[in-house]
Amino acid sequence: MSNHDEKDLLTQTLRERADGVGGGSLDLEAVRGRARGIRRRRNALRGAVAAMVAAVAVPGGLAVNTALQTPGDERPDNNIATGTPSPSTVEERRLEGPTALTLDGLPQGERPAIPYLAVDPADPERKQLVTPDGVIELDDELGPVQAAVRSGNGWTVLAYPGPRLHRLDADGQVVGTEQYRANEQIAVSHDGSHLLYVLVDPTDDAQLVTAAPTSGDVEPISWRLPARPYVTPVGFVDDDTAVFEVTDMRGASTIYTARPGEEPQELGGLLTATAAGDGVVYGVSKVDELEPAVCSAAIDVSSGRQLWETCDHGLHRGGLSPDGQLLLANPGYVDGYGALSLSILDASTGQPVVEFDQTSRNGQVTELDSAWETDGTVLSSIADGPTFALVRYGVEGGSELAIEPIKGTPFEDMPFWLMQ
Amino acid sequence: MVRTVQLAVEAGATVGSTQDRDAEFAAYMAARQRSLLRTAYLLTGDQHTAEDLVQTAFAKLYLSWDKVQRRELVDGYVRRILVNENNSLWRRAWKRRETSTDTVPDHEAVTDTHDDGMRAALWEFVQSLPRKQRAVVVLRFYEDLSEAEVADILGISVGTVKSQSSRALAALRSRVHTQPLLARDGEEER
Repeated sequence: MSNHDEKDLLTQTLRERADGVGGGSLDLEAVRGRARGIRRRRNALRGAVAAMVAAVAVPGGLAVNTALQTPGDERPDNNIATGTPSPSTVEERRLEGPTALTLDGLPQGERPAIPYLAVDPADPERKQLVTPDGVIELDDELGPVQAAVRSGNGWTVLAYPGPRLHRLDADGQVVGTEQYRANEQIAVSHDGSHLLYVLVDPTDDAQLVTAAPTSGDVEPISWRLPARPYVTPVGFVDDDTAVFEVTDMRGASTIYTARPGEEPQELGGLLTATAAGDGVVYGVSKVDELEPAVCSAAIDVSSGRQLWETCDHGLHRGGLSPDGQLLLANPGYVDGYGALSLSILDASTGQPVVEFDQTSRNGQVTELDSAWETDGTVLSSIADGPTFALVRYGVEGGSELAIEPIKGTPFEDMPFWLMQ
Repeated sequence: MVRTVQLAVEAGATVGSTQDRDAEFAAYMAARQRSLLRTAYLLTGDQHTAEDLVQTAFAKLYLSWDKVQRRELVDGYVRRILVNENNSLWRRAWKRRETSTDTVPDHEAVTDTHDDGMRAALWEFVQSLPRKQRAVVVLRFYEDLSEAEVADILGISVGTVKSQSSRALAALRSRVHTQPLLARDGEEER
């Protein structure tokens, strides 16, 4: 059977299946009814977020679009909104309101302090890993790169074909390769000290959920699972406890915590997990079927108790800040072009600290991906029509360009990808 | 397959009254509904979910109708809504809750009258693909979109589209070796 035959077989099967689909009796009124519901929810969400953010006390609150702190500056310990700020601090620390999600008029800031992959639009096979220490030309043998994480003196890179997990030295040379499983992800503990990934067991039809420190000579530890379910690494709730999600062929997920030498334990309270840290797992707890939109929650692993729940935001996968105190989130709505706003939540309460929103209701600026750069700054890949940019957002509400915007076309490949 | 729809107004024309706007939208919906439902069915595997997905996609398109200035991009836009909705965390969670609480099996609207075992096996294979890989397969091999168009809709790189397609075909090839029925019928098919 040749590649061509397989394509033909697939195409023919899909067409025959599709041809048998009947129905299609939607009328305008039904669609308008659902649209009204979505609009009501969006308006309620906008109002709620604006009101909550305005009421939250943040020290050193900056005016909209004021300059960002230099990366590495210490964020005051009490910088996170508590929801019940002390009366003496409220007056001088009030946040002005939502901050603009826009590329217009942003000042140019420092280069990114975390790695990103730069793809040359004219030569997509050419890939550069741009790090704070310099640019690493990746081997042509590496196909599309899904993740690149600093590990020891080099890098752990997840790439196709395969996918395979490649160990790279500091110069980007491949020094080891293993067959990979899982949903194209490597999870990194929020403090960057451990990696969680999934390898194919070379001796058996099984997969190995593997935890490894990013430095030192400690041997990795693994949990063996059957080969078929898809495993998504989530993170760690402490140095010894990994969190991962197993999704069966029907799409149902179960979340597990796992300690060395012990059977993984099921964790209830979440439909899917997005992040983990300091004894807590975060994720989706409920769903509003109208959008459908999410409720998000934090579950204490030791007690299984729900610490908080919010139905205003959906959490980013891997969106816990390095200090474990803040979470990246989007509203419970994703447009056809991506998320229309970016929120930073207090991880201890689920309440918003700051919201980056459209400057106009007709805006089409979308956040495509985000990652924490420092405890106080987030890098986001932003698309404004055909213009792409990496933008740095601060927990105080400021924003600036981290690299110069690049013009593309609607059907052009993204020119850069955040790797954390 | 309808790829471009002739809309009631000229491309780029200023949208007039709400009535005109709704008439324009209704014309688009009527023209694209069946096609989108088919794509949604291939993405989801059941008609109930597919119909719900298409309704949500149209509702979101309706809200954005005035913003989509270049009408030739509407098809791509609504497809992206469809795929994003289907891939979203909350949609998956919603589906999980449905399947875990509803003991009545989903109504299967499609009866494959031509099925001789091979087609059913192939369809089962498609349904077993990871969600994003399945979207790549449907958009590439059913919608016949270019790799760049698929990449744009899914928000992934062209290289990832290539690799995901290759993975799916490699998995199918692997199935051929492990399922004699599939291999035999595949040979007969040619």
